[in-house]
Amino acid sequence: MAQFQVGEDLFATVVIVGLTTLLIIALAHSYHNFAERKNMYESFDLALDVAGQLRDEVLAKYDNGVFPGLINPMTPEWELQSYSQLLSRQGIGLSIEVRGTDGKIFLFYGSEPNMINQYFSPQCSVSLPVAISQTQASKSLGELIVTVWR
Amino acid sequence: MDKRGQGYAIDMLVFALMVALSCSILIKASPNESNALNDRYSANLATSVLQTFQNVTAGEVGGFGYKPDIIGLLVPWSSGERDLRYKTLAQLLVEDMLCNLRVEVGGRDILPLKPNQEFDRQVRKFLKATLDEIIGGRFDYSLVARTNPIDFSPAARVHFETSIESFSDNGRLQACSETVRMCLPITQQELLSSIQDIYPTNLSLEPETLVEITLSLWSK
Repeated sequence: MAQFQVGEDLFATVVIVGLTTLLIIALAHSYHNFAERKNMYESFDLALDVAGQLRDEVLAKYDNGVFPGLINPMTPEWELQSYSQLLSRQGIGLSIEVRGTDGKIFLFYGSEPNMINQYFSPQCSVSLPVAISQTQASKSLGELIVTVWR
Repeated sequence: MDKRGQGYAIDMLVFALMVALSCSILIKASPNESNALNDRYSANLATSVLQTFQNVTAGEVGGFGYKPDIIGLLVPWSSGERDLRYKTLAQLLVEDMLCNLRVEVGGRDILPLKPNQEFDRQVRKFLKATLDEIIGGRFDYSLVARTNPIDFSPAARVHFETSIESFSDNGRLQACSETVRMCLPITQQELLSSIQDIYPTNLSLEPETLVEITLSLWSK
């Protein structure tokens, strides 16, 4: 049976344990970066889908039909709420903002994600140019900003 | 350190090398979706821009007016500046397209004199400034409005076309190209007479002459 020698063998063990720990930390960090990037791609893809649906359907409804790309700032809140609930059933949070080029906010719906959710799954935003119907004759330029998180 | 200790240390170093290698592979092997997502975003953006062009009026982006001219000369008896703030951006683009008749004879392009150069110059400047504002420098772009070519003899064909571009280099990989189709804002008879002004012909047009507006984006 080999005899344990305090000195060289202990030093070798400390070095080996230290190296192993460092490598495990490096591996965990790499995986975290990988997972975060993958998550970001998925969130951005989702945000694009949601923004497209809002622009062409949900926010484009008028009494006389649907006009894709023409945002109705008077869209009833229950309509946005029911769309948001559809997403929240799948664990997706949503915030919608429509603002003019001068920064004036025409429509806002949603809430801020809590800190814990934000740590595990950062929020992702998409901004698309849209036309905002203010009156029958006036359709101004604006921006639709959609933020999603899981 | 005895031989067994050295063996452990070498084993660990080999293990460390393998872990470092797998880490680097993991970092490099992150999902190659950035290009696909960029293409998806640019397609969404192009669709939004085209929809915006069809809805937003010139008056909402600073207004648009011009002084009429004939072949580059201002018309002194004209009533002054024409205000077109009530027209949508797409309508202005199509009107500019109608100022740009292209004639192809025997495979060669002939550019006839433009009937309204001041309008052409002003509207292109106005639409370029608007596109720069909407796209915001995120992409390079090319906006083209054109009708389908109309054959009026076996060797000759005409079409209207105008384009607004933010760059001249076409060597790069295009991110996306989206097209919308619109009806002509003028009657078939008016279109025919604008062609006959330059090339007298007994041409008959198809009943459904459409305008195609195509927006192409390139990543910067």
